[in-house]
Amino acid sequence: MRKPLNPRFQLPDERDMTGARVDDLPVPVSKLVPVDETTGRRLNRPHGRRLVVIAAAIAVVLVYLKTATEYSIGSVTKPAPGSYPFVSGVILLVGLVLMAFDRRREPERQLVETIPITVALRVRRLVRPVVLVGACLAYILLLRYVGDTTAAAGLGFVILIAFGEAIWRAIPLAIGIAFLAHYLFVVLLGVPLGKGSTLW
Amino acid sequence: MIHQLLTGFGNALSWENFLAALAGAFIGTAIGVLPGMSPTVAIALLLVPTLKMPGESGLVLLSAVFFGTQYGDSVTAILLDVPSEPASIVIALDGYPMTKKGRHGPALALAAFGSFCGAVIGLAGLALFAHTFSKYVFQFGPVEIAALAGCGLLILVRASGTRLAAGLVALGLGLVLPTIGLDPALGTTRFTFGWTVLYQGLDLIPVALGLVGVAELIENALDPTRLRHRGGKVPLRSLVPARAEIREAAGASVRGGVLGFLLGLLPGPTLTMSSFASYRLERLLSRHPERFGHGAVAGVAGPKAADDAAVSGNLASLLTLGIPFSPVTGVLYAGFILHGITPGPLFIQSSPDLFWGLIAAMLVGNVALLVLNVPFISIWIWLIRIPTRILSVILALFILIGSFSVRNSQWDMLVTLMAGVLGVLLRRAGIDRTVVLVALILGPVLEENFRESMSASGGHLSIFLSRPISLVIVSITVGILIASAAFQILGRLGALPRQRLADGA
Repeated sequence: MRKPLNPRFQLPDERDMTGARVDDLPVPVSKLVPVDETTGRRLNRPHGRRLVVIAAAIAVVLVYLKTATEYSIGSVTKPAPGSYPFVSGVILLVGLVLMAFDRRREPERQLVETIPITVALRVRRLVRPVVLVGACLAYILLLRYVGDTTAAAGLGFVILIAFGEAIWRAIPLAIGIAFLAHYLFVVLLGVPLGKGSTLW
Repeated sequence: MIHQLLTGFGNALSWENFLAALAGAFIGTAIGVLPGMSPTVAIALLLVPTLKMPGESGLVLLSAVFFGTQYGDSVTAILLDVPSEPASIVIALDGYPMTKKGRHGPALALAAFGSFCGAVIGLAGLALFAHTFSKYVFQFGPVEIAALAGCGLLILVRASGTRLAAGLVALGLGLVLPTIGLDPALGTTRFTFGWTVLYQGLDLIPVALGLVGVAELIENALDPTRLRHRGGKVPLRSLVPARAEIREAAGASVRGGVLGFLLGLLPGPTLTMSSFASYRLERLLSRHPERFGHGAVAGVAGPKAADDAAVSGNLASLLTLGIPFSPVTGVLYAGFILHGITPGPLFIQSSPDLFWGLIAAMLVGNVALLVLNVPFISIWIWLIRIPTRILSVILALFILIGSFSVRNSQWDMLVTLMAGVLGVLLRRAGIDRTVVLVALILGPVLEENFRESMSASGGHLSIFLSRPISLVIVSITVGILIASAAFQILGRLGALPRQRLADGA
């Protein structure tokens, strides 16, 4: 049996409309989609969301292609510095455009479409990954100021708490893992990690 | 060839290399059983630690880690139905039903047996391929390499099994990312926007660690229910399979080994392809196809053998051509370079002792896997029981420091983190990250050699059809693409009447 989440980090809206806890749902949370409880219609339809992401990606690729043309394109038989990036960008662009017109959905999404789940529950799912990425980012940025052991202990503590570990266990665990990493990489392998390491 | 191989065994059995093979097999399995850990991440994490070792021993260790991780992944697939790599999904199809029937001991033993058979067949194939190829080594120039890289990318998009749009996006992304940095021909900067940190470009290791390792960590954080299973006890006595099971597994392993090696020679996710192909072949040949999916022994041993033999096929292109056809061989290639050894056409000629020593050491490593790993099954199960939250902290730290240690750059850590987020988005969009990584490796090879070919031929594209080896490569690629398109069309034509029948029309 999985340990229950740390009560401090359980949000009040962790339960869906039926009163089920996120961990008691019949399918993995990743397969669930938000549905408006009154009308039963899907909120924030995946294809619409996908189109927004694809449009943003296309915009980035267009900027990339514009930059590539500034390096001189040359020709197929006389390639210049910009020719290979240009061709690569065109392949990416074609793929993205084709993807925008591809409306076929993944079969498992259709299967779970009718399971009601609140938007808040979906937001709740994002807490752990956001904390994980944020903790890693903080570790990278703080490394040169506070040293590797302190930064690693901080990273460990934040992730452990976010994953539901009790504070009294999270502190020694985080410190232990930080010292283990320091001994392994800095002492044994001589990786120049720590205060004074440059960001760029 | 036999003489060279015997010399190789002499090298492999030196105490440093022997210990490296044993350690690599053990560490590889230990990492492989951890959820979400793939051979790519395992080798990338161990690159820097091996720099303290002599070059040959370091490479022996990394190669043994490759095989060890493959075996470790099958342990979690069989016991928990949690495969980390797509190739192990097939092994879980029959391995996990065997576990549910209480036959997990024989399933693990037969997977180890299949793995060993596949590795032996694959390494024999690798030795034979390398021996034959060494006769043509000097005919391989920029034209042939450009043809191979370009054709490899085309096959990759077809072989990835995703939709055309997703394949093109993956290919395009993989080709675009390495354009950041210095132009390989003229040395001018591209897409650096004045940032000196971008002059060196994006290194493969941080990107691979992010796309595979960090992405898995984020996925686990998104859905911790993925890893909620825990393994039970496996007494040593329960590992002994029945005679009939051994007979069934032996045939499947030999067939899987041959099929896996041949498919492993192709670029792309060939480990997965070979496992699936072997499974389908075994079901086709079986007298009891209805047993597949419910605990068929051939469904475990065959795909496992194919998976391990494909590793040797992957290594063949790396060691003989110097072109990594998969993400894991790309990371291994980086390991070779860090140890001051450049694999490629001249590698076998200039360092025959190292080449044959490496093959012999891999064989020794596989014997070690068979002899040591099955009795150590309790240790692997103990590793599986480490709580996800503790594992996430350890892996996050190891991945970030592993990324830093390649160039001692915090920028690479940021690249790893960004690649991790990108990896999750790609996975959600159904885009194969393997294709992105292989394109990332092959892209610069293609660009550099294509420009050299055009420069040497005076801008004539016909050079790719006028040189015999490149003509063969182009012809085989066209053949594969036509055959694949034809099979797809025939499949659709066949599916239509079946669909109408099912609809009652």
